[in-house]
This record gives sequence, structure tokens and C-alpha cells, in this order.
Amino acid sequence: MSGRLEGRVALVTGAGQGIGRAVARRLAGEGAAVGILDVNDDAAEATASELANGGARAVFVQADVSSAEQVGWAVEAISAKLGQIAILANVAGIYGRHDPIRNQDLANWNRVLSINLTGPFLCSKAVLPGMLAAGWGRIINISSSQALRPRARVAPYAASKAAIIGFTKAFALEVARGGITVNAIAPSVVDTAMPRENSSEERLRQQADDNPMGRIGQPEDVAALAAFLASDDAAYITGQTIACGGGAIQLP
Amino acid sequence: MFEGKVALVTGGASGIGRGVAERLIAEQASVAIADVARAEEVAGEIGAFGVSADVSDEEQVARLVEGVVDRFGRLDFLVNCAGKAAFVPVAELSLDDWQSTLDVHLTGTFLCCRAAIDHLLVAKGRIVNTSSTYAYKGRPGGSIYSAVKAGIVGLTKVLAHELAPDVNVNAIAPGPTDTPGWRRSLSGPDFEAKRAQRIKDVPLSRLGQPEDIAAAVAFLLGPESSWITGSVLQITGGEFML
Repeated sequence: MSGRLEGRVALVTGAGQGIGRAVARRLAGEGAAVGILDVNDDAAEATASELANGGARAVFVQADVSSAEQVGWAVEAISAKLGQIAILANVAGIYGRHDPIRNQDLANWNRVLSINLTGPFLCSKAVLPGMLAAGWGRIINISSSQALRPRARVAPYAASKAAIIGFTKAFALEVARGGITVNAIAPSVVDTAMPRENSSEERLRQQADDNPMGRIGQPEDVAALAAFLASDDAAYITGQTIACGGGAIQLP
Repeated sequence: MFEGKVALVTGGASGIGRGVAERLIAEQASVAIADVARAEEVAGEIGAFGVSADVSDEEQVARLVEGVVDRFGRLDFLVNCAGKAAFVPVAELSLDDWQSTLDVHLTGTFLCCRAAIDHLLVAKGRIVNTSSTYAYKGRPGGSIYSAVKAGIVGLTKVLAHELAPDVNVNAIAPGPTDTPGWRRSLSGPDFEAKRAQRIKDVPLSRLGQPEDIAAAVAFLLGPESSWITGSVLQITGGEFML
């Protein structure tokens, strides 16, 4: 298994922490060179250094995924340093503020959509010409169990994570003949800063108890699925949203 | 069935929205339609109250809802039908087209729901949002369309939680429906061939009509659906089955 991504260049957004960091580590562990795009410079820089210390080729470029301009030059800089990007993992995302719709302000709504939904669009569009030229590409988006079973008071997050499923399906059809697959992963609650900032310890324990496997997800669980989707083994899988939730999520 | 009820239908000047407005008027509701074009003109034709408004504009939406409540004294039903179609491959899709489609469908639905909540809670009313079978499947060029229609499903589920038990919130997912927007999405020299192919894909051997969709909306606004919230109803002639 190790080395199955040898020679590939991956771009992982949001790799400063959480699921993004685990995906970057895993792809690097399988031989990929990894470009890290994140708004958070200290944390993402640390991930890049860690990968480089482990012997991987890794670079960090600071950019905001919701800015077309910043994404454009980040992709250019990463490609110049590591080579043509073959794998894109769109992990950067935010939860946004907790507010019921009646108090939900448009600025928070737009911020969540621009990072969680428009970000993957912009990053995909930026890497697409290279993938099409190479005739090979893997794009992996992160949805959420909340796309299917959301909580109250996080409508922008739930809407963005449901929307990414639609985006994944349509985009997959467009590029299927170009050797590019586009899939999404829908994790249930994963042990990262995001749920810890937004749920009580008690709720997380409850979610672990309620999970068929008796635990919440680890970032590495998601990263393992991302690595599979990035590999040649997943060549015939496209347009899909794959639940990664210990059995807690059952797609229709 | 809807005597004494007040409905606001966005995108009500054409297509599905107009079909919904006409159905609700036929069932004795007082209906306001909002649209970016021809709202007043169509309102005159069908006996509605027309308001020219862009649902993606926060201030216009606030004025729209207050205007409807000023006029009729209450608001029972919000039916979000406003939308636009943009079918361009991702590789060529501009951020402006992406953003304006996102703003009208998804943010517009959010803004209208938010503005109407207090009135709907008082009236114990209903919301129906318009998703699409493209929430569940893709078509080339449909990246933002599938995204917003899937996003509307997510928004509908959250709202159903937030407004329960007072306001039921559901979505409809029409399949191929004979509207100006649908016809535009197939426009081109081979329109007739594409149209015939789409009809062949439908087990019931015809396109949906706005009246078919309006009938489902009327059900979701009526007493028979009081135990249904957070659901998406497919109206597709069998063309799509979840």
C-alpha cells in the first residue's frame, strides 16, 4: 500500500489542522508530494515542516480558498515547486456561528458558503487544466453527515455541506472522460477542534455512545478514505458521496 | 381549501411559481407574487398582488415581506420558487455566474425564510422550498445548479428542526417540467431532439406541467401533510426515484 501515490502531487486545503492535516500526512505517507493551502499560516507551516522532516516533498502557501485570485497564485506557486497537481483534497471549511435562521446574519451565511462551497469550486477550477492535460486527476470534497441529518442553528453549514454533494455529482460528469474522478466524503462527527468548539464534552460522549461502533471518528479514518479515493484503486468511482461514520450515517 | 390564508410565492411570474400562485388563488388563498420581472403584470392577469423584488437582496426581501403583511395582515405560506438556470462547465464557469446563481437560489431562499419566520410562527404556517432532482444527480454543466438545489435540501432540514412544531418546512424536487427556464436550459438547434429524449426518460411519457408541481405544493400547504416536515417530495413522473 505504501507508495501507491508515488510521483503524484497533491494539494490539500485546510491542512493546518484536523482532517486536512491528517489527509496531508496520509497522502505524503503514501508517497505524494503535498502542497498545503491554508489561511492559517502558523499551523499549516507546521504541517508542511513536519511532512518535510519526515522525508516528503511539501510546501505551504498561505491563501484564502474563497479568493479566486489567491487560489490562482497558490496553485501556480505549488505547481512550480512540486509539479502538476494530480490530487486535490478540498478540506478547508468552517462551521460558522450558531444562530437560528431568524437571527442568522447574511455576512455569516455568505462567509460559510464562500469557504465551504465556493472554495472547492475555485480550487477545482484552478487545478482542472493541469489534470485535463495529464488525463488523470482526483478531486475529493468534504461533505458532512449534517448534509443529510443536520442540527438546528447551523443552516449555513448544513446547506454548504449538502450543496457540495450536488456540486460533486455534476462536476464528476463533466470531467469523467478526462480521467478525473470527483467524489465527496461525508464524515459524522470527527475528533477535531471543530466539534470541540461547537459541542459540549457531554454531547461528544453521547455521540460516541450512539455510534454503532461506539466511538466518534478520528481524522485518520477520513484520511484513509481520502487516500483510497486518490489512488488508482478508486478509478471507477466518481460522483459519489461516501459516508465515513462508523455506521452512523446511512445514505439513501 | 385555503380561504383566509395568505401566501407569498417567489418567482411567481412564470413557470412553477406562476403555476403555484394560480393553484392557490383557485383555492381561495390571497396570493402575493414576487419576481424580478413582470411581477405586477402577471399579478394583474391571475388576480394576485405583485411585487417586483430580487430575492437575493436583503433589503428588498425585508420590504417584500413587510409589504405583503401590510397588505393582507398576515402570512401563512411562503413558497420559494425564484431561481435561474446557468448551465456552464466548471472549466468555463465564471465566479460571477456561480455567485449570482448561488445568491438567487440558496441565499434567496434563506433570506425569504428568515424574513417570514416571525409571521409564519404567528400564523402556524408553512414553508415549501423548491429543490430539484438535480439535488440528487448531476448533469454536465450543472455544478452550481446541483449545488444550490442540494443546498436547499440541507437548509430545509435545518429549518424544519428550528421551526418545529409550529411551522412545517418541506421541499419539492421536480423532475423535467415544461417551464420557460427548462426550455432555455435545452435551447439550441437540437432542442426538439433533446426534448423528445427527455420525454423518453420519463415513465409517464410526458413532461411535468407547472400544475403538477402546484398540486404537490398545495398538498404540502394543506392539512393532510401536517405530519410531514423536513421532507423532500419528488414530482418527476417516475423519471427519478430516490
